[in-house]
Amino acid sequence: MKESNMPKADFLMSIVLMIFGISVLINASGMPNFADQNVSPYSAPGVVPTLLGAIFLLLGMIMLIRSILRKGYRLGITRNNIAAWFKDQTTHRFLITLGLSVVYALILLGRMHFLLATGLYMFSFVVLFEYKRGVGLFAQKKTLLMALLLAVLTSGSIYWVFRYLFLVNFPG
Amino acid sequence: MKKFTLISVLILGASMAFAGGAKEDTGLPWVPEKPITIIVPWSAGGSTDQLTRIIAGELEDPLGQKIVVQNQGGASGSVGTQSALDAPRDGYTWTAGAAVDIGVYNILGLIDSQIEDWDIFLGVANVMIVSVNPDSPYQTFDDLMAAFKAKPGQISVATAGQSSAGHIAMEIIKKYTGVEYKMIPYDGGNPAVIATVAGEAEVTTQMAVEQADMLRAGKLRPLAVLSDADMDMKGVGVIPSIKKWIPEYETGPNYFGIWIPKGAPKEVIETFGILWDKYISNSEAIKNYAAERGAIFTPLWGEEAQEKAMSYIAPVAWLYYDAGKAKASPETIGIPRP
Amino acid sequence: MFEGLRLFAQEFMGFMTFGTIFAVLWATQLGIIVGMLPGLTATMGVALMTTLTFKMDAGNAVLILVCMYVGAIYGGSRSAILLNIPGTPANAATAVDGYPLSKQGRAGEAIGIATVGSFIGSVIGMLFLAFFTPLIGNVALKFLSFEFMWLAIFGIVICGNLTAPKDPLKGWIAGFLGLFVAMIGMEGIHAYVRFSFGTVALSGGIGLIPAMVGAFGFAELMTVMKHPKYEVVKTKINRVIPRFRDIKRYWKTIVRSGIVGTFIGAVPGVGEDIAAWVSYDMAKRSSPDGDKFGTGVVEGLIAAEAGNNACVAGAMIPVLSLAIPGSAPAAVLLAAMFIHGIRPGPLIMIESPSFVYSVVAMVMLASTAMMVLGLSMVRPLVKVLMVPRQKLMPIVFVLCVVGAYAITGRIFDVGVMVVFGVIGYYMREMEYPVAPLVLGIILGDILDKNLRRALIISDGSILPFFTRPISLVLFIITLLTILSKVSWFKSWMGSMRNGVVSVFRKG
Repeated sequence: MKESNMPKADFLMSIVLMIFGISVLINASGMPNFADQNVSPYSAPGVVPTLLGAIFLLLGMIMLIRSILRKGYRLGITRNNIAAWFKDQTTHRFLITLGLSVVYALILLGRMHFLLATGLYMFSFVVLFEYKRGVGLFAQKKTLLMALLLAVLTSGSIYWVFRYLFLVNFPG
Repeated sequence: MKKFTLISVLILGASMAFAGGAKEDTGLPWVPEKPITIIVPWSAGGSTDQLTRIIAGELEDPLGQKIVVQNQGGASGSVGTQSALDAPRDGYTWTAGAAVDIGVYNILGLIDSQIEDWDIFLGVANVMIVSVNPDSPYQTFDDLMAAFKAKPGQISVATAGQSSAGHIAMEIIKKYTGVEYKMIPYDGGNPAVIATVAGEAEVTTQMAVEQADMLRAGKLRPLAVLSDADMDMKGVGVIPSIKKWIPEYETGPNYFGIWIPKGAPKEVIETFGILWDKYISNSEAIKNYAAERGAIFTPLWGEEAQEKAMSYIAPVAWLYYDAGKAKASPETIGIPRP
Repeated sequence: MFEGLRLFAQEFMGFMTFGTIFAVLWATQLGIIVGMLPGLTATMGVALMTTLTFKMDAGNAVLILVCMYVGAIYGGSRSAILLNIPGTPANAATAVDGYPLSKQGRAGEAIGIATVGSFIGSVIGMLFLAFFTPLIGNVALKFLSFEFMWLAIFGIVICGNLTAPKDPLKGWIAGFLGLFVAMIGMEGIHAYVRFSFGTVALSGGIGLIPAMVGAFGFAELMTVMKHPKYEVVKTKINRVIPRFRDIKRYWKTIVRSGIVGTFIGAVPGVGEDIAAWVSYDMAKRSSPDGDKFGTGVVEGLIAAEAGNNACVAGAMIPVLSLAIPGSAPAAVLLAAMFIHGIRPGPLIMIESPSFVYSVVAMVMLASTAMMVLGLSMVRPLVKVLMVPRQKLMPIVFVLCVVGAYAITGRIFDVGVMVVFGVIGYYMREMEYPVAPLVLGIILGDILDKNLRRALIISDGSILPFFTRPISLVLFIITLLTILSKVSWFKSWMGSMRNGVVSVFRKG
C-alpha cells in the first residue's frame, strides 16, 4: 500500500474499531453473571470482554484523532481508482492465489479424496502461473509434465508422512 | 528440487517402515483400522489424565492399535466431552473422566449429556481429601470448620471448577454443616492442588490421587478423607475419615473410567467388554496406581457400571438441585430423589 | 555440586551406545523437520512422538521426546529465516532479523549463527536446569493469578512494541484483537458460550494453530504470489560455520539471552515465544545498533534463537521440580513422563535425583545433535529458496491445510485458517503486525481465567494487582513499555533528563 494512503486506511479502521468495541461492550453486557447459582459475581464471563471492548474503543479513538490530524478523512475514492485496481496485474495474481486456495481448502477437501484434491490444486496452481499466453499447448508440454509430476509426488508424500507418521486421519 | 524430493522420499520410505505395520490378528470382534482417540477433557497431570493414560497403555497391545490421548480442558470438562459427542459415532473417539460429570452436565445446564447417553467402562473409584496449605493455622478439621463459621464465604477453596470432584466434596460438607465458602475454579485437579500449595487458596478438596505427591512431600496438610473409613496412604500416614466429625456422612466413591457416546457399532462395545474382562481386571499397572495414590480398583462395564455410577450421580444431582445450582430438576432426566 | 557433576557424567556415559546415539540423531532431525514445517509446532511434534514412543522403555522414550522438543524449537528458525514463516510460534522473533538477512543473500550465515546461538542458549539453559532445579521451583510458585494477569498484558504490550516499532499503536490493536479472538467460544469457568452467534462450530473456539498457520502461512503466501516479479533471494552460502569472532563479539548478548530465556521458561505457562521476544527486546535496548534491528542484524537473530532454546531447558525446571509445565510442549513432556511411570515433582530430588541429571544429559545430547545436524545439512535446505515460488507455495499451502486440520480433525479449522490468512494479508497491507495477534490468542485464555480468578480471590478489589510485589514490578514494567512509545512522555523524559543534567552542571 502506498504510504500516502495510510492515514486514509487508519481513518476507516479507527471507525471500524470503535464500532467493534461498542458492539463487544453491548454483547458483553448481555452476558449472565450466574448470581442465581450462588457464585462470585466476579467470575462472570463478561468481565474480560467488557475490558477488551473498552480498550478497543479507547485505541480506536486515539487512532481516529491521529488520522484526522493527518487528513485521513479525505478518502478520494473515485471510479478511476477502483478500475485501476481491477486492471492491476498484482490484483490478478492475488485473486488467482486466493481463489484457487479457497476452492481447494473449503470446497474440494472433504468432498473428494485428499490425494485427488491436493493433486488437482498443485497442478492447476503451477500451470496457471507458468502458462505462457500465446504459446501453443503442445510447446508447453514440459511445463505440464513437471506440474503433473510435482502434483503426484508432493500430494503423495504429504499424505504418507501425515497418515502414517503423524497419524492424521484425512478428510474425504 | 529433484534432489530434495529424492531425499524426502527416502526419509518417507524409512518412516513408513518405522510407523506402518501389518494389521495384527487380535481375535476380537472389532479390529480398528486407525488409531483411536481418547479425549481427556481436563488438563494434563490430573486424575483423569493419569488414569486414562494407564488404561490406554493397557489396551493398545491387545487391541493391536495405537491409542492417542488428547487433552482438551476447559469449562469443567464439558468442552472436551462436547467434542466427543460431536465426533462421528464410529468407535474411534472416546472420552474419559468422572462418571458423575457426564451424569450431571445437563442438570447443571453445561451441555446436553446424561449417563444413559454413554457406554461406560470404569477403572477406579476416587475419594476426596480435605487438605490445607501447611502454613495455614488449621491443624484439624475442627479448626477449619470453626474458621468457615467465623468467616462465612471468605475461606477460599481451590477446585477444578463447577461440578468437579472438589466442588462436590465442598457441597457435601456444606449440606451437612451449612458452612459458606469461596470457590476458586481452576482448569483441573492438578492446578487446583498446586494453587493451594502456592498459597493462593487456603483449602483444596480435590481427590487423593491428585494430592498424593504433594501430601507425601509435606506441601499439603491432610485434615480428613471423605469416605467411610480412615485412609492409610503410603508415605503420608493415616488420614482420618470425615465420619469422625460428621457421623451421618454417607456418599459413595467417585467412579472414573473411559466412555463413548451411545450409537457406536455393536462390535466396538463387545470388544471393549472383552478387553475389560480379560485385561483391565487383571492389570497390575492400574492396581499399583490405585494402591499408591489412594484409589479403589473397580474394573466394571455394562449394566453394573451404570448402576454403580448412578449410586454417586443421584445424590450429587440432588445435592446440586437443593443447593440451587441446577438449571433443571434431576427428575426431568429420570433420576428419582434417593 | 560435585555429586551432581558425578551423576551427570554417569548418566551421560550411560547414553553413549550406538543405538542411543542413532535415536538422538533421527529424533533431533525429525524435530528439526517438524519445526520447519509451518503449522507443525513443537507441542504437536512432542505429542505425536509420545504416541509413537509409547512402547519403548522410559529412558529412551523421554530422550526421544526431549530431542524432538529441542529440535523443533530450533528447526522453526529455518523457515523463519528462509521464508519469513516462523515454523513454530517460538521463532516469530527470529524472522524479524533472520529473513532480512537471507534477503541480503546471507541465508547461510544466518542459519549458522542461529544454530550456534541456539546451541549456546540451550547449554546455558541446561546449566541452569542442572544447578537450579531445586531452587527455581520456589520462585515459580510466587506467580499466582494476579501475576499471570500482568504477564498476559505485558506480553501483548511488549510484542506490539517490538513488531511495530514505527507505529506501536497498531501492534497493540493487533494484540488486543488476538485477546478478543481467544474470548470466542466456551469459556473456562461457567462453560458459557461467548460470541459464537449460535453456531456450533464457533462454540468450540478459534484454534490457535489454525489461526497461526493462516495468519503467518497463508497470508505470507498471498503476499509472495502477488508481486509480478519475485525478488529472487540470491543465496551465497559461502560459509555456514560462523566465524569465531562473531560469536565472541556477541557473547554478552548470547549469555544474557540464555539467562533471560531460561528464567522465562521456568515461569509456568509462559513459553518459548515470549522468551524469544523478551531476549530480542533486551538485545535491542542494549545494542549500539539497536535502531537497525529488524533490517537484518546478526545480534537480533542470535538473541532470539539463544532465548527460545534456553527456554526449552528452563521450561523443564518446573516440570522436574514441581510437576508444573513451564510451556505447552513441556506440558506434553510431563504427561509423557507420567505415562512412563516417572513422577516428577517435589520429591524427585529425594526419590530419584539421577533422573534430573539424566534429563540434563538428554538436553546436552539433543543440543549437540542439533548443532551437528544444523550446520551439516544446510545446503539442501537452503535450496528451498531456489525453488520457483509457484512450485513451492502450493506445497506450503497444502502443509498449512494439513497442519490446521491435524490437531482436531475438524474441517472447520481449515476454514479458520483461510479466514485468518485473509485477515493476516490485509493486516500486512495496512502495516499491522501479525505476531501480537497470535500471541493474543495464546494469552487470551490466561488473561481471562486469571483476571476473574484474581477478582474472586480479592472479592473484586483491584488493589492486589498493584500491591503484591511481583505484580507491582510487572505493572511498572508494562506501564514503562507503553510510555516509552508515547511521544509526549518521551519528550518529557528528555526535558527531565536535560533539566537534571543542567542542575548538576550548574552545581
